[in-house]
Amino acid sequence: MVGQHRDPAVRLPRDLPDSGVKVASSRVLVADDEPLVRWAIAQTLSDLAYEVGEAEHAASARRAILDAEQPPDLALIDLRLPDSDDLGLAFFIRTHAPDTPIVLMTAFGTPEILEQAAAFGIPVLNKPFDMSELTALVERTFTLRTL
Amino acid sequence: MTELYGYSREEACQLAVAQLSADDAPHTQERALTLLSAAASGTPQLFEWLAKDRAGRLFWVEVSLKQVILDGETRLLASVRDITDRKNAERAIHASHESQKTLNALLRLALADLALDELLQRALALVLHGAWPRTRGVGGVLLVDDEGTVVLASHIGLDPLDASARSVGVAGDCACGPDYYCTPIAAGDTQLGWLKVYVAESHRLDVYEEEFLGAFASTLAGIIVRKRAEQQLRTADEQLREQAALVRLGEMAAVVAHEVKNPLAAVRGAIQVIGGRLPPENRDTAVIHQVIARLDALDELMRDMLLFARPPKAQFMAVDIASLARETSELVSQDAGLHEVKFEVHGAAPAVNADPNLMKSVLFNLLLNAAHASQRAATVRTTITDMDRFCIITVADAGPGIPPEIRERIFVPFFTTKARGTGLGLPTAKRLVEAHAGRIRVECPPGGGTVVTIELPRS
Repeated sequence: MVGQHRDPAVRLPRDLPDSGVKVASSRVLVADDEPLVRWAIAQTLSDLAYEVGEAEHAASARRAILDAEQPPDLALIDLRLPDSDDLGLAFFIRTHAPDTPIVLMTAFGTPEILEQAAAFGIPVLNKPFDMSELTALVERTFTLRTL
Repeated sequence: MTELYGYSREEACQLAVAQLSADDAPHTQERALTLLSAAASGTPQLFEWLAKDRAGRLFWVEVSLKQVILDGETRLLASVRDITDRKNAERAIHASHESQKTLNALLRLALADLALDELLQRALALVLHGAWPRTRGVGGVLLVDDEGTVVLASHIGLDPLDASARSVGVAGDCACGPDYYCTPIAAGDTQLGWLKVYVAESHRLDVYEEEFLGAFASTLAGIIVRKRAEQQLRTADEQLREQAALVRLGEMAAVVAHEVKNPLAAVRGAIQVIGGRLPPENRDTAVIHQVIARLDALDELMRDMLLFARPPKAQFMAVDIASLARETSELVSQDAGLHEVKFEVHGAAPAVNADPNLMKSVLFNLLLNAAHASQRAATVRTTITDMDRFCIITVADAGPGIPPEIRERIFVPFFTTKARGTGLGLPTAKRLVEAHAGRIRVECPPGGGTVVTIELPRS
């Protein structure tokens, strides 16, 4: 083992805490080309009463942003999509839905892109992640948004 | 005869041949009498003789002895001719021939594909084992190392542990000892070292021998400079190849990591969701936890590979290494399998300009290796010391040490002796230490155990 220890405890979704901060029917857009990732996120967040919309590439995510009456309350987007491998989609969301917080997911991002994301205040979730990390980050984002 | 060798006729007639000779074999009274007898018995003699004049100066003469009849009497006629010039010319020709022969041999050596050490050894043998100049067969090549210390780079018949073997005279002063000569080996204004030659007993090098040693040392200087330049080029070339290989490995690792981590994320997320829907008492819940643990181990392997193949750019800041070592020791000691191992951190040093996360990874690896090598209830001791411009970190264990045959390979990526291990721990530690312009080395002291030493520049 080279890196530092990961917390060996694995929490399954039923164990995940519910902070109660979330507003009912908060909408989350998940953009990832891997159906299983979208499914797992959608299931986990749905169990916590979020409304989850899915996009499998950047174009469909953009359309979802433009077509929606209300922009999503949160966008969870993969860094690398079939039609995008940079922060282009994140910047699009910042432009067209400036109040929508963004969380970037990545299996491996170059240090430059990760630095750029940090510079724009976009949190990064490294794949693979435990669902408790996801929900903690989502809850924190909503908590900050409601303050 | 009016005078001979500075003596008057009268004085010369009173002297024995020995007094007019070097009187050193074969130029002795006894030999002279033999030659005179032969001539007296009718056999003319022509020979060279080392004569000595009134001032004690030795010089060569050619002597011709033959019987003649003068006024009816049989006499012995001796004709003596000073041949100093001819002898000097002969010696110069001989010296030139021997010198050229040896220098040619040295140049041939220089063309051979030899390491500098081997080349110096053979070059030294050319000087010391030849018939000319007259040496005792003992000597050495002393070189000035990077730190300005004179080291005995090569020797024949000297005791390298004896400090006198490394003693040299003042640069340019050839006769710096009673029985040895030091000839400077210099390239332009740069003093590379000295050629030290012990001469035959009571022998004093003549001008030809001194000139030869000077020429030999100059030629050797050129060869040393060229060999060192070749070595530097080779090292730079190896480093470039290594860097290029690491860059390729980094690119490959990035692709592999992405292609593996994405499906890992998919499988891990899905299995976690499915597991979460099982009732807690369901017997498959434990299996789901095991599956996730295996997936996490795979992810950790990918992270190990990435850290080695594509380490993040170091973010330098002032780091208290002793505190970092304590923190990391605490982290390693939390490993369930290592709770009987004791971790100690001693010493302190001023803050070092380093990346705390990368240095933590380095220490983590070293401490984990040391703990795994240790016996139960053994102590892993980390010591921090301040030395000149460096912070020295040593991690010592009391384990069995590393067998000599594998010691050279421990920094080779993917080399491991563990039943389960990636073999990336030490190579990663080395790469990260080098990213700090530091050095890392591993030693196994005779008393047992292994000591890993890191020299980290403070700034």
